[in-house]
Amino acid sequence: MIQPLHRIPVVLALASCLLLPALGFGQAKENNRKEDSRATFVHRIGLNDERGLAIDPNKADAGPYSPMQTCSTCHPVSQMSKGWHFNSNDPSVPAGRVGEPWVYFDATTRSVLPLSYRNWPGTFRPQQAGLSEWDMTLRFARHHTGGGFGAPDTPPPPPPSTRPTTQPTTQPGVDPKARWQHAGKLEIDCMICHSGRNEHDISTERFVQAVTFQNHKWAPTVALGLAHVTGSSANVGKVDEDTGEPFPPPKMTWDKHRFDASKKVLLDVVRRPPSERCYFCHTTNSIDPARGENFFTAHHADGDVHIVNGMNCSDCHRHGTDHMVTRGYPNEAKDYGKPELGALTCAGCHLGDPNSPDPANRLGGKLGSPIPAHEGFPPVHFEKLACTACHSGPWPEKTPDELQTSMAHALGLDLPTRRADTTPRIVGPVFLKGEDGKIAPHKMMWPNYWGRLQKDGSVTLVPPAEVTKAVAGKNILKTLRETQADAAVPLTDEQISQTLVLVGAVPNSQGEPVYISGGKLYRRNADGTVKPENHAAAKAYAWPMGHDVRPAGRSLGSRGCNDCHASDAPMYFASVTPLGPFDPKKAESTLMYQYRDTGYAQISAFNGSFRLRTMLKVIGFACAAVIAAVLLTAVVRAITATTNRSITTNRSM
Amino acid sequence: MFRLIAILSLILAVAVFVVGLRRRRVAESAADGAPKRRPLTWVERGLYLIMVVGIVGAAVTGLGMVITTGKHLEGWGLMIHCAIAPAFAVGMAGVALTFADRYCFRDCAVRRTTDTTAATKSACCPGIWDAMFWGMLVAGLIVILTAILPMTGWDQYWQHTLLDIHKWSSLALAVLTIMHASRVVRT
Repeated sequence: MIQPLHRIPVVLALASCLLLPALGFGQAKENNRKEDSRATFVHRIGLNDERGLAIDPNKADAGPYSPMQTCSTCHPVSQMSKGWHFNSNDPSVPAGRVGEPWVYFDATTRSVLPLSYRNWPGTFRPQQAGLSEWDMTLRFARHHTGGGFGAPDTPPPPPPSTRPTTQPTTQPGVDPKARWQHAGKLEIDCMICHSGRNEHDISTERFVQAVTFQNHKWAPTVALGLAHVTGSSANVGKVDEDTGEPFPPPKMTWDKHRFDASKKVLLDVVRRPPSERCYFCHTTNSIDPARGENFFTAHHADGDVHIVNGMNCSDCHRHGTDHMVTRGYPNEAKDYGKPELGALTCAGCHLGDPNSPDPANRLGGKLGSPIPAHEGFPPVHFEKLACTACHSGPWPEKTPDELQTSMAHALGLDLPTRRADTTPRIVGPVFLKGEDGKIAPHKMMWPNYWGRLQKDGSVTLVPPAEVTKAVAGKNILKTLRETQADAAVPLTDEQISQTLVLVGAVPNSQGEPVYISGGKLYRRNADGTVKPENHAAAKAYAWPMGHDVRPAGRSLGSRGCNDCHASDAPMYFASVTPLGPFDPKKAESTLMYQYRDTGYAQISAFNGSFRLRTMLKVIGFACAAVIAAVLLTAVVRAITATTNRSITTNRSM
Repeated sequence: MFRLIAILSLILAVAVFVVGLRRRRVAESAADGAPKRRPLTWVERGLYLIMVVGIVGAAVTGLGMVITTGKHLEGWGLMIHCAIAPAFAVGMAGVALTFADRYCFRDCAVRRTTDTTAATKSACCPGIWDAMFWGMLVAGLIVILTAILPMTGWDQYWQHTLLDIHKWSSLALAVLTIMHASRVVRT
């Protein structure tokens, strides 16, 4: 039957009423409500799903809860979601000082790559390694807050001047492997940080949902214990071989006891995240491989002096509504054009920041911090050294400690496959000059990858997947998973040589195939042997180490000048040997001072001169005493002569 | 500011040194046959030479670095500076012991009043040279103390203060020494 024309507008209007909410018009309006009190605001709140609809646990189609849609009821999440933890893939954000990368390890090709979306020299952009946002999410969601690459909206094109200069500028592409339509986006999960009582289970439930089952959009709900989810979106669209039926989508069962009569949930939201929440992603442990299975030594570590004394990470690493967490390095105020950040550095807090717009912050002793006297230290130390040089990281020894971090080694997750030699191998402290020219302790790792040497001398990365494809079926490289023990076994020269031939034979490839490993670049000779040589592309990637801060009594210099100026002081003469999936015998050790462009003669002469320091003081004081005695005698004689002359004059009168 | 004052002061000192040398030659030729001051012994000459070499070396490495780069001493420059320092200190102490009697305001004043010959007037040190010598000793004492005291556990306020005092007193010492050397060099 043909519809009369005059009925069409009515039908359209009716359809609009029914369909528009489903199309997103039902999204909760973003607000910026404030209680403006230092007291904790009790979050007994209703939950919204990703459509912005209020969740009723009694309804079959309810949820999962969306942190963004829930929190936007009161908070400006569009502003918050541009914060430091979520904006790495926004190229318009200044990269700031180099930081800890995501370390990608492909066991088959032994590729170890420091990755970052930020423009940090020495890192690779994930796209260079052939990794899409989907790949990054599956691999690193375990220690990611969500948002950013976990919820990829193509970022607005940045102004030309802010485009990365050391990394390619490719925009996110479409990954055919991506299954966002089933998994949903991994939204920013506010409770990862703001959970006051650890009711948010990041270490097990979120990991299992977000990574193992690819149930990204269900992860925040399950992590909070609000519901139980069965099924995996990774299987959606596949057929269960046992039953012959297609796998069902994830099914959620709400814990209705968590909801009150008005369908609200009490969430223990805190403004200042407990340090233990930060530590899930920001733990660094020294390990001792010599202790075998008990390589983990952190039980004996003292921890950061600030935290031990009752402070929170967020006392210094603050932010406003924008969630741009202060990183606390000296040039941060300049990098981001925010002069107020100067007061949140080590020196700004302890000594005061003379450039602070707040007069109170020009004074030291912020938060009761002790104002250091640094007795006996010539001022040149403070021109040459960052505060962290003496106060941060493990006490330097003849070789740097081996370190494991949350982001690189998935600390915090129950992984029995984690060993002392688990890739990546990170060492520290290595004393290098930072971007501000001051010596500071760094963590260091050595990239391992296949590349192509270009005519201009640069090396372009060959994505691990391309190498795997090139050697497929040739029985050269054994297919391995990163958790397998063999993954740390170095490649033989023969394997390297054969692989270089195959990588070079890839159609349309430009440049000579090379292998970067252990701080060296390997090229294939005409006779099939491989030859290592030095190359800038093989340099280690290092990033500054801010914590754990040691107290004054356990800082370098607390025992005197010889902590750093002895003839074998670790700050200069500790031996740094590259570690990773390569033959340690081929790795070339470097003494710490060699990283700082300082000559051996100068260092050894300077440190050797400290043996004469006492003699210098004795000579100085003895000579000063003689000169003072002569001056004193002269003064006495002058007074005596003047007095005598006065007496003589008086008598003659 | 310091760099400007240092450059001007050192130029002035060198000018005084050159002029002082010339005036000495003229005075000596005019005073031929007149009684002369006791010449310096080899020990005195040696001590003065050690002191001057020490001061010049320390000034070149210390003041030179500050004037040319505006930065504090470091590296080889600092090591040379510290290596020369004992020579300067020992030389200055020796000079203080051996030269003190030569630069006595009272003696000059008495001799000038009792002997009015031109030769005596020129041979006897006028007050300005006495003042220069004692000023040199005072500056030297301050330089030595401000170099040594920072090694004995003073806090950063005093470290900076002592360093500043060391800088200014070193400049004063260098200027006074250059000027005074014109007096000694032909004695």
